[in-house]
Amino acid sequence: MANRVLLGKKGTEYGLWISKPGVDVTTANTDQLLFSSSNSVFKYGQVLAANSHTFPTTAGSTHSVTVTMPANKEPYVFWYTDSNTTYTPLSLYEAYVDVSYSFSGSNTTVEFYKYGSFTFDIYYIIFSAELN
Amino acid sequence: MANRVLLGEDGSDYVLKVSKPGVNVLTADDEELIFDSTKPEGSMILASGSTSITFSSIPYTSSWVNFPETYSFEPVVLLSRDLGSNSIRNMPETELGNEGSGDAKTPTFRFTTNLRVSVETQTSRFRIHIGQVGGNTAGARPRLLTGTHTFYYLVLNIGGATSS
Repeated sequence: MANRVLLGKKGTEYGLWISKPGVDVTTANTDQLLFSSSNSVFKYGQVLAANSHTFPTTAGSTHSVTVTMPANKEPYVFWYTDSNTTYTPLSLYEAYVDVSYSFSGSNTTVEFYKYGSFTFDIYYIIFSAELN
Repeated sequence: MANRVLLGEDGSDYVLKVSKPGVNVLTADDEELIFDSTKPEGSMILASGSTSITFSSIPYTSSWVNFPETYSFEPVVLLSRDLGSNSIRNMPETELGNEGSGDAKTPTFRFTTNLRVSVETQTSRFRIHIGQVGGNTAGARPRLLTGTHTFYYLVLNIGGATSS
């Protein structure tokens, strides 16, 4: 059985490393790791917020979520629409979402802005990764 | 308080599992775990950053963006486009718009060319393609106009194994 969890010192660094099944964590390459606490190259895709929201029919309606980030940093946001939404051919083109950010100290507010006069659901995930 | 961290022997395997708040890690279902070392892949981020392109016609192919190293598989790359003023738009998106005037502004008469932004990924790099898909569509949105655009990318350590 491979050594897969290293909690302690690796090289000159203290941290936690976990390799993929069958891979020795002490010799694993970057892409063979499930988790690394190292900040040198990569980060863990910690999810800061994940939820759904139903937009009302009103065009220009918004939905805001506040997360904690380093000052003035924008988190990566991924979202998708509910495939069960009933679209007309035109509404499919007109109904889409933009995201904007605003900052207050360590609080970053993510605002989803909906275009189009149609109601639909979105599912969103806000990652700790920084865009800027 | 629930037991939330399991580091050690679990059946015949040695594992690290972390459950969601309020869930006992010893009895948690898969979707109740924040982390599970028994799974073949996780959501570790291999790279992130931004890249800018300038296109004036289609089909368009950007320069390659290199990863920090060469991986043993093609990782998942997520893209968002910078709209300015601290705003982004998710990928994929469509449209090279030509709104025109008069009747051409109404959805019935407003024809635009459908564009698709896609990502081509290799083990060491990725690039962006912008091409036409389908024909002309009335009123299609959002629009990706010709010019210079900045994309943010996130490279996830996903793609090297099969999982169920």
